[in-house]
Amino acid sequence: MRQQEAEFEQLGVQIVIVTFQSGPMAEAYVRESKLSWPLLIDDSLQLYKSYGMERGRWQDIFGLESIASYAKLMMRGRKPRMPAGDPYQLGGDVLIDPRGIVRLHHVGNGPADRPSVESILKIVRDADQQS
Amino acid sequence: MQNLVGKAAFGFELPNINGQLRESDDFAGRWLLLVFHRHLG
Repeated sequence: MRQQEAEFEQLGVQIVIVTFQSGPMAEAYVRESKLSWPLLIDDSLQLYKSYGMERGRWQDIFGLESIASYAKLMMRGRKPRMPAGDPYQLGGDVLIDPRGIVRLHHVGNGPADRPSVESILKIVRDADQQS
Repeated sequence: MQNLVGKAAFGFELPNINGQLRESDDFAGRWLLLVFHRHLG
């Protein structure tokens, strides 16, 4: 997603990262990843739950797709780390338009299940062209 | 859960790592992508 950061900016899309982990883990994440977007902490999981991001099933989290996803990351030089925090908690993506209407609501079934950046950008471009 | 496309987004008020509260109104009027992380580790 960072590779397309300029395009998000050009289209006027603000990006906010939401995590349920606070304290040293969140601070280390911001430091190590040199995060340029705001990281907000939802440790009560209220917003996660509002958008239906609950805990996943074992087979979703540790299934073949997840293993393949981690293998891809390793091939790109990323070292997998033991999860710190609830490994079953699902993530996802919510795209909200300037009027406050949800335009994309994706609840990830597992670590490999994310919408493509291109599909997100397309929603914004298409909506901007129509307005 | 039903897909929420076309519905009004939920408001929020959440702290950043420095404890400063940010609310949904801070981001209003522009596109906003909320990326919900799984565990950070």
